[in-house]
Amino acid sequence: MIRFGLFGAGFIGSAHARNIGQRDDCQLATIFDPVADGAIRLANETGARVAPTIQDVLNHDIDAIIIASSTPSHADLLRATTRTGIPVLCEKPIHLDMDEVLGTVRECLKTQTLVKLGFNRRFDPEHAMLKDHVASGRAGILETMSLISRGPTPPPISYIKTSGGFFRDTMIHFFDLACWIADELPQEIYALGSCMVDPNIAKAGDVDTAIAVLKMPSGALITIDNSRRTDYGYDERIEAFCSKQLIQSSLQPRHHLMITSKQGRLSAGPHAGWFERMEPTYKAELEGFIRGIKGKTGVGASLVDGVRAQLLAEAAEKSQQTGQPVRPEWEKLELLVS
Amino acid sequence: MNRIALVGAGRMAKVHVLALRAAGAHLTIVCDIIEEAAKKLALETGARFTTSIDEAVSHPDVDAVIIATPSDTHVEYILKAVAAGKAVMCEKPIAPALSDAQRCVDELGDKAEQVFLAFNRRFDAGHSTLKRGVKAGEIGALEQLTITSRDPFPPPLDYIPRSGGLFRDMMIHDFDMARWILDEEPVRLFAEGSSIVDPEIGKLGDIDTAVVTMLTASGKQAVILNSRRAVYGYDQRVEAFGAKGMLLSDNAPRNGVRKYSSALSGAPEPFRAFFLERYGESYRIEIETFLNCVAGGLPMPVNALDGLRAAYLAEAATDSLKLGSPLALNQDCKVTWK
Repeated sequence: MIRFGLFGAGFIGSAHARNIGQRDDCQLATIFDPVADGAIRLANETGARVAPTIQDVLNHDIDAIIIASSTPSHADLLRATTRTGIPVLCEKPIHLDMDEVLGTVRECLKTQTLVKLGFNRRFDPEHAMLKDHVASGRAGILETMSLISRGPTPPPISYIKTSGGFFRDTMIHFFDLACWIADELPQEIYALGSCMVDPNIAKAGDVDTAIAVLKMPSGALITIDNSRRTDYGYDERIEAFCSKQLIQSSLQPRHHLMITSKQGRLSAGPHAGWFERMEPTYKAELEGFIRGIKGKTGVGASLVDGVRAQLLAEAAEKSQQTGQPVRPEWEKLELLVS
Repeated sequence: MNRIALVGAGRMAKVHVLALRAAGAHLTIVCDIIEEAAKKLALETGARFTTSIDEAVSHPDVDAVIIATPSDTHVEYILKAVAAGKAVMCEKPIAPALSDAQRCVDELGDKAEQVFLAFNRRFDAGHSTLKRGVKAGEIGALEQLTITSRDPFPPPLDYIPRSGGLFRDMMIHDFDMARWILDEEPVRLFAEGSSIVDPEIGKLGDIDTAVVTMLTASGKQAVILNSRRAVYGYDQRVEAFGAKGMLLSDNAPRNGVRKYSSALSGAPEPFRAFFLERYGESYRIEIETFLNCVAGGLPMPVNALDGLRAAYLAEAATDSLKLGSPLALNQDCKVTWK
């Protein structure tokens, strides 16, 4: 029985708690949230106990930790938890400030504690199959790839102001997916950004519609297309164009009923929101994390993957602001070791 | 008003002959510098034949001249036909060299808008439906446009050195489509490309894989993806994403057959072989449109100015790739060098 300690009783924390509850091989033991009400509510739902402090969680008899608290707390929690040696699954991002990210990851790596970063889209079944298929070589060599994520609606402006910007907040998932599928890191990134959805987003210093192009050393070209808003639900897909095959992780209708009439052959649109679309990935991610704890093959993103994705986000933002292509600062990865 | 002089008796001329027949037009005379070719086509169609461009364009029983000859003859023939007072439709490009295309448009003056430029993809049922939908506001304000164009195989290697390069030879159609659907000139363009399909193409100084991004003054973003080789077939797609929805003009299958078996499930023939098959109908509708405009004295929906601007975008892409840098464009799609 794997006993979990959970930091954060909010939306994502609750999702993790539910997934733990649905499994026979694990149990939510203790929860901490600075907002006591949240922790109490979730504890009542799950039978876990409420931890009065962070340290209380770490002192508790637990086998694994999930960090699903607010972004500013991630770095400190990562340091504190990895010092204990207990395996950790931490939601992205590590921190919004690159120097903090590097310092935190450097410290965590020294402890050699198992840490997985919450890039949950790696666990989407179709995305994972696409990755495996490309990795197998059956599709030939990757030549171009498009990753699209749009909508459905932008978060509140109050969130946008503290999100770290569209590239660190949203596109970061797709930087991770792109590098994971391509199995190489871009030598250059170029990003276009516009404010098309809500002028308040521009006033907050951000963009809501963006395209990034990643130039890979192999010659492969990868485009990422993100928008904060669609009219038709949440649109996420990946297309890998390879020398022998085209592999598509397609736009998924939220159900498969079709109605044909004079209006045409109509089918359901995509899921209403990103969570509806991605909910199964949290279960699969937990499964992957547990397998990692049990010593089986590691799946899921590492802290270093998190650093890579964030270095790309930094470069993308710089490119969007300057209008020029930018070389990501991969040399900073060397700061993580030594 | 539909008596035609067809200049050129090669492959494209034969396509136009079929379209003219379907439109009920009368082919008066066929002109080709190779007498045998002109004579053969004339015999098949019941038209007269000549090797003289002057005779063809000044013929009294001709209302309109269609030019389907090698591109280095287009400027001379356009100017002669216009000077002879005939309506003119000319295959793209206006000229292999941009300076000649500019010279042609300059000499035509206000008549440039009356010369129909054969960007036939505008007349594809899917693409034109998409354009109509965008223009009618069906998807709200346009925000992102993605055009994917992949050929089933590259041209012969001995063609590449005189092709003008991928942007002028292949992407020219997509530049025209982008301008047409965006309904706004781009102000910035960045071209990225690789030779990863066939290194021999790279050795000839060309690319076979390209991604071009463009930005308009209002913030609209366009991406054009080209590949010289999609093993699975001729892949042509346009995706328009707006504030109120998305329109996709997808590939039309060769047939509607689907198969289900333990060995494989899906559509065995989802693509048509190449441009003549895929865009066959568009040539017919293009000619019909041209003839209607001639008969009704209507403005040409796609004209020499469009041809020139697409050529400037191809030039900008060629330069952008060489420099490794995005380029700013003015309202005529010309690069503004700082």
